[in-house]
Amino acid sequence: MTFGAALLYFLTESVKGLWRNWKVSVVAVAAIAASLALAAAFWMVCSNAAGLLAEWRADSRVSVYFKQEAVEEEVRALAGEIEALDAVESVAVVDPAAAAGRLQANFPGFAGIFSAEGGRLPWSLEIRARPGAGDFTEQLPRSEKILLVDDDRDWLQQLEALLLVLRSSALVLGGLICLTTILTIASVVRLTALLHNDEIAVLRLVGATEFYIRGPFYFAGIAQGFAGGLLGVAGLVALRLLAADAVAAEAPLLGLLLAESLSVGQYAGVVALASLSGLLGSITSLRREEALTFDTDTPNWEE
Amino acid sequence: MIQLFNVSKHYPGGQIGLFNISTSVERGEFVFLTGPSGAGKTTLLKLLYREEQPSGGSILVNGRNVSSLPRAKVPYLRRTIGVVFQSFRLIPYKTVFENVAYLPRILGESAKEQRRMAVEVLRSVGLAHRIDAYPKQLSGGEQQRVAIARAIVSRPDILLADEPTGNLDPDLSAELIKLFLKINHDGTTVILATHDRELIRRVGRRVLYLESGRLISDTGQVLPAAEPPPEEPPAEAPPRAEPPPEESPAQEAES
Repeated sequence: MTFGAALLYFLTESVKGLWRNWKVSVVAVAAIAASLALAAAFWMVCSNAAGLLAEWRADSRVSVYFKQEAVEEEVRALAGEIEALDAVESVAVVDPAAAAGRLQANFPGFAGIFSAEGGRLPWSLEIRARPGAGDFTEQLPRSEKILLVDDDRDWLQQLEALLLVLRSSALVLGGLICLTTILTIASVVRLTALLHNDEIAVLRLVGATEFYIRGPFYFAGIAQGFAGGLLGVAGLVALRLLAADAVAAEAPLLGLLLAESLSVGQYAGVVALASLSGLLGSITSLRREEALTFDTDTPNWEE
Repeated sequence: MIQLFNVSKHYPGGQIGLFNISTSVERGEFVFLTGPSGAGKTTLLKLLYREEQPSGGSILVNGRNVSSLPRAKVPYLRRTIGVVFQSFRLIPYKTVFENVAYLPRILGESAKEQRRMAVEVLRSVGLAHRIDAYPKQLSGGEQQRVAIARAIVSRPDILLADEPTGNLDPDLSAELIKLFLKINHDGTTVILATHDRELIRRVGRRVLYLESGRLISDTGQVLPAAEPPPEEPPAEAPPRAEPPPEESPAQEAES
């Protein structure tokens, strides 16, 4: 038998086998689809969260606030020293007028407090770090005129730690779902093999090789994994298209986590992983030689 | 062609399936294997097509030691041996054609060639017109003929039949035996296990008589393969040596 003919045989026999056992097959595929859709959704959320954090990190800065008595010369001198640090990309000097303008623009109600009291906002510096730069606040020059050093990146680090936990959970969840897929398909393949025990016995009797006997079952596993993966991905894409806008309107932060879909390559990866899980399920189910050896003296032969 | 040297088969628990069997069957021979139930007939057949392995001794089929054959080579042995059972063992959800064409398909024959081979073999058993029927649509005799067609579709060297007439009435049994004789006449070695002593007496071929796993007698009567099969099974063709007497009711009850 040629390789092509063998593939065609495996394909047709696996489809026939699944069709004979279609109710179980449909339930298995639906279960796999639901599990994989969940895993892919988790992946999508993690992916969007990572993108969001990257954007925020790019926008993050270290702010240095000066005391009221600091004068422009002192501030600019310190800015020059800070700009010379390796970790620093740029330093912007914010004078009291510019700070008041920002406050007015962002929080109109608060701006009146300062004008009413006749006070003014202090001088400050906005330091943008080079990409990948660590904590450099300890390297900042010491000065009595500095009131406060505020590193935006502190809370970003906390969010990143949270994302790491999410990603780890996604990995564990993905692993569990793969395991569930493998076990589900193993059960279905085992059941299909039991339903075909009489035919398997005949195949052995007339001289079929193990590869010939097992091939259709391996294909059946792959087919179920593939179908489950495809269905799960299609369901997730459809759900996102239908619900993403509504979620974004009701809960903007949650909407951001659904903003970007996974790429075609990533969806293909999910389907490929599901197919591989199907194959592993079949192999798991039939790994022992006795798995397909039935008592040929007492099968359900038609008498 | 088939040689057994001191072949024994012991099952777990100490039960003896066969004990120290030595005999040979020539190419083209027709041999009856008989004895009471539990005598070891089925076990002996299973050893020949390597469904089971002997506990001791050697079995040579066409010069190959079947007992030491690697597991991966067993399928290739089985392609040279057709096997027929009392229970037919047809697949109910497959048509007659599909049931018959298993081996041609395994051998990678084209769909057209599979069909041609199936039609040819079904014609030889008189069932070409039922090629698209399902087993349930056939009578017992027809089902057994389909099983025989499946066993001989690729012209095996050896045909093993385990009580093939056990489920059939005497008329159908006689027809089936004619078919086995015809297959044998075409050059296939036939070993037919049965406890139908009347059948053995009428056909008059070599008889191996087993009892409690031991070979009790061998009539040694060998008819050359070239001899044409009789139109009707001979009415009076006693074997050269009478097999041992029928088992007693007590023996029957034991088995």
